[in-house]
Amino acid sequence: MKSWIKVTSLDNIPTMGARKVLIDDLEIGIFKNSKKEIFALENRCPHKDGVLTEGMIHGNTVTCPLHNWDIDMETGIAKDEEADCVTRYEIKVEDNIVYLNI
Amino acid sequence: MKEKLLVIGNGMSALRTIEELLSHTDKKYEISIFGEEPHVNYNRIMLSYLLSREKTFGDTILNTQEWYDNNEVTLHTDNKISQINRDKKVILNSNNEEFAYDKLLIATGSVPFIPTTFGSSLNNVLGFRTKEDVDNILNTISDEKKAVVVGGGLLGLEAAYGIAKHGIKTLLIHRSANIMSQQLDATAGKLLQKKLETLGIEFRLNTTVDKIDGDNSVESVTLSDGEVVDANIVVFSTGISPNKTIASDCGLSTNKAIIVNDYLQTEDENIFAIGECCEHDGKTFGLVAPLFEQAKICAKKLADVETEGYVGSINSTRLKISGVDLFSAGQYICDEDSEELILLDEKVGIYKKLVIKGDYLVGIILYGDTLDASWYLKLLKEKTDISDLRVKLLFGKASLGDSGHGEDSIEAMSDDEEICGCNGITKGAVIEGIKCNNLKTIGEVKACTKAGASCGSCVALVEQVLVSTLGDEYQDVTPEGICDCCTSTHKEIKDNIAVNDYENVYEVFKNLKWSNEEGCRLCRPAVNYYLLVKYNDDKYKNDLRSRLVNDRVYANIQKDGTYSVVPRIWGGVTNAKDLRAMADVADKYNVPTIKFTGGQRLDMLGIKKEDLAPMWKDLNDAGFVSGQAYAKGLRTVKTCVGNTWCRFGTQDAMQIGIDIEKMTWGSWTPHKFKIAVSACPRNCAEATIKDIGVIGVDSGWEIHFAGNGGLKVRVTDFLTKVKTDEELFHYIKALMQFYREDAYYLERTAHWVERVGIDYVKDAIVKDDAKRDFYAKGFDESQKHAQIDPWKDSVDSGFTQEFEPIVLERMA
Repeated sequence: MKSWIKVTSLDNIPTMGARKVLIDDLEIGIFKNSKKEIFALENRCPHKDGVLTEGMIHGNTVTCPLHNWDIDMETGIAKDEEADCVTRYEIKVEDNIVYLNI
Repeated sequence: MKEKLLVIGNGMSALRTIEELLSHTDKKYEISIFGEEPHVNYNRIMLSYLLSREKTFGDTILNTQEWYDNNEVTLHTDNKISQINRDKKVILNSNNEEFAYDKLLIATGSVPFIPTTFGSSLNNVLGFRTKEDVDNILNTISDEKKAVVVGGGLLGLEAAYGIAKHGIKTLLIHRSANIMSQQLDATAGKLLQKKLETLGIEFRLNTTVDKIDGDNSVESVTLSDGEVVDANIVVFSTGISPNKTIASDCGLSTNKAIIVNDYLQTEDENIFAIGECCEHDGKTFGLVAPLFEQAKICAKKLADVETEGYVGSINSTRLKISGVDLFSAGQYICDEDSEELILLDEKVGIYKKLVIKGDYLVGIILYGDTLDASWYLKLLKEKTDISDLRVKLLFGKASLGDSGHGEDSIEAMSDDEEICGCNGITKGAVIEGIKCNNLKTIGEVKACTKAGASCGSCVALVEQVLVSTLGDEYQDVTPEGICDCCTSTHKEIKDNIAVNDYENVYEVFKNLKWSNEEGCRLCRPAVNYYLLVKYNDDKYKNDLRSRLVNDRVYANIQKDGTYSVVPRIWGGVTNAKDLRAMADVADKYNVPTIKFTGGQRLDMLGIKKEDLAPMWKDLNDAGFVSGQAYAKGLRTVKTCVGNTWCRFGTQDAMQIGIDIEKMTWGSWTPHKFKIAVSACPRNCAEATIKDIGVIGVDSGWEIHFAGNGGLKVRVTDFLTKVKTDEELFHYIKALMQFYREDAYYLERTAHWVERVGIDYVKDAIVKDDAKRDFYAKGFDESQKHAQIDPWKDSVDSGFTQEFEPIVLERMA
C-alpha cells in the first residue's frame, strides 16, 4: 500500500544538485534542476550501479558519475541505451515540503 | 597577355597538373579544360565504392564547379575534342568548333580494353571506367540473374566486389590460375580469393569467355571450358588501351601510347601528354601515384620552374575492398638472383613476403597486415641496405626496438615516410599541414594536404597522425564543436572568453549560441575552467555544479559509490606523529583499505560520503589539508631522499620538493598535474614521466617537461638547466601558468606539447625572459586566492551538509 511520505524542505535539495534518501533498504535520489523542478529516481545507474545523486545535472538530464551515462530524469530512460531504464518514484512539493509516494 | 593553355581531358591527371601549375603561377596562363563526361573532376579510384554504394558520387568529387570558378579555369563538359591542328595551333571538337592554344596538354586517359568475342557488342557488355559505367551496371544487375566479371586484376576484383555487395550472384572469370597475377604470387592470390569467396564472389580460373549469347542484351555466357552461365551482364576488366588516336592523327609519335620525354613533352614542344595516355621510356602507367609524380614535373615545366625531369616510378598497389588489407610493390616473384622472406598464417589471414636481392629489398607483398607498407616501400624506394635489419625485417618496424616507450606505429614512423602513396605525401607534410593551417578534421586534412584524398586506403593512418598531432583536442571533440551542445572549438571558446566579460558559464553558452542552455558534462567543466583561469578565484566563483563529481566533492568516487581520502603529505615526507594521527582517523572511521599511491601518499579507500566531512575535520585538526588527489590541479610532488641520506644525491630533493609543493598546491590546471624531484640523474623519483621533472646535478637543477606515465608513456623533454633554487621555482611557476593559460581543458602537458611542439614552450619560457617573468607573476597572482584547503572550506561553509543522506521511516 503506497502512501505519501514527507521527506524534507525543498530548500534542502540543492539546485542543480541532489540528495540521497534512505528508506529501510531502499535508496532513492531526489534531484532538483535549474528551474527548481524535482525528480525522484532509484539511485543506481542501470549500467554499473553508479550513484546517480553524484552526477552532473544539465536540463532534465543527470550524467552518471562513473561512466557518463545520461539518464533522463523525467522518464528514467538511459539516453544512449534506451532499453535500460531507472525506476521512477512519484514526488510532489506542497508548501515547500517534498513528499515521496512509496 | 596570358598564354592560352588548353587541356584535353578532365580527369585526375589533368586536374592534378593544373593544381600543381596554379601553385606555381596563376598569372601565366588562361586555362580551359575539355571533358567528354558531363561531370566535374571526380575520383575514378573510388568507383568501386560508388558501385558498392559505400560512397555517394558527391563523396568522390575532387574539384567542385566552385573550384573551377575561383581559379578562373574554364570547364567545357560534354565536349569531345576530335582533332588537333598543329599548324594552326587549334583543337576542334566534334561540332567542328575551333579553340586556339599556345600550350596544349593531352590527358585523354584510356578506355577499357574489351576483346572482340562473339557477342561482345551486345547491350550490357560493359567496361568499368566511368561514372556512367557504374550507373549502367547498377541499372542492369538483378537478383534473378548472375553477373559476370571478366578479369581478375585490381579493377575486376573491385567491380566484382561492388556488384556482390548488392547481394547479386557474381562470377569472376580469370584466364590464369591466380587472381591479381600482376601484383601477387600464388599464396597471396589464394588467400585473397578465399576472402572474396566469403563476400559472395564465385571464381572460375584458367578459363576465358568463349562467346556471349542474347538477342539484344546479354542472356548467357559460354566459357572456354564449355560451362554456360545464365547472366544478364558482363563487365570486362581485362586491361586498358591508352587513348592515343588524337595524337597519332596529328602526326605525333606514338607507340603503346603517346611518347613523351622526361618533361612529359611530346615531340612538339608546345604539346604535353600526361597520365595513362602517355608512354615514358617504353612504359605506360595505370596507377595514380606515378601519374601524380608526372603532374608535378609537367606543371613545373609549364610554369618555367626548374625541374629534374621524370625518372619513372615504382608501382605499388593497394586493393580498395572494404575489409581486405592488401599491398604489393616491386618485384614480387623470386628469381635466381633473389631470395624471399615469408611469414604465413592462413588461419588468421596474414601473409607477408619480402623479396630481397643482395642487401636490398626489391619486392613486397602484404596481405592482412599492411601496417608497415609505407616503411617497406621507403626501404625499397631509397634502396636502403637492410643487412643489419634482416633478422627482424619481416616482423615490421615495431620489432626493431624502442617499443618500450609505448609508441604506436604512427609515432614510430619518421617524418619522411610516406603516408599517402597515391599522392606521395609524407608524415612530415601531413603534420606541417595540420599545424600551419590549424586543421582539425580528416576532411580538412584531405582538402589541404591531399593525403587520403585519392584511394582513401590510408585515411586511418592520416587520422592517427591527426590524433597524435592534436592530442586530446582531437579525441574529445566531434569534428565540429567540443560537444554536441555547440559548434565552437576549444580555441574559439578561449578566444571569445579572452575578449568578453562573463560572470558564469551560462552567459558564455548564450553568447556562443549553444543549442542547450545548460551545456553538458563535457562543455560545462571546460568553460568553467576557462573562466576560472581568466579571472582567478577572487573574481570568479568556481562553479560547484559545473564540476564533475571528484572535483566537486573533493574526493575520488569509487565503483561502489564510496570515496577515497588522500591527505597531503608534503613532498612525500612524513613522520611518526602524522602516521599515528592518520592511523587514528582510519581506526575511527573503520577504513577498510589503506594503500600507498604512486605519488607517495596514503590513500584511505571505502569512505562513505557522510563520513567525509567528519573525517576531513579530524584530519584538519591533526594538521593535514586535502591532498587534492581528485583535482584537475596540482596533485603531488614526489621526491627521492636526496643528499640528506643518499650517497649519490647531489641536491636536497626532499626539501626542494616540499618547497615546490607548498608553492604550487591549490592550483587548478587543465588536467591533473604532477611534479617529481630527483637529487641525481639516477632519477629514483621517476621525474622523467611527470608533468614537470626536476633532476639535481652538481651544478644545479635540470628542468624536464611534459612527461606522462599513463596509458601511453611519454618521456619528458629536457627544457633547461638552472643554477639556483630560486631560478628553479621561477621556471616552475612560469611553466605551470603558461600551461594553465594556453592548453585546452583536459589536455595533459604531454598532449599539449605534442600539439604545439616543445619549441613553442621553450620560446616562451626558456628563451624569452620577459615572458617567463610575465607568466611567473601570473602564477603568483592566481595562487593568492587558490591556496585554500577545500576540505576545511566546505565544512565551514556548510556545503558538506548535502553529503548527509536523508533517512526516513516508512509509515506504519
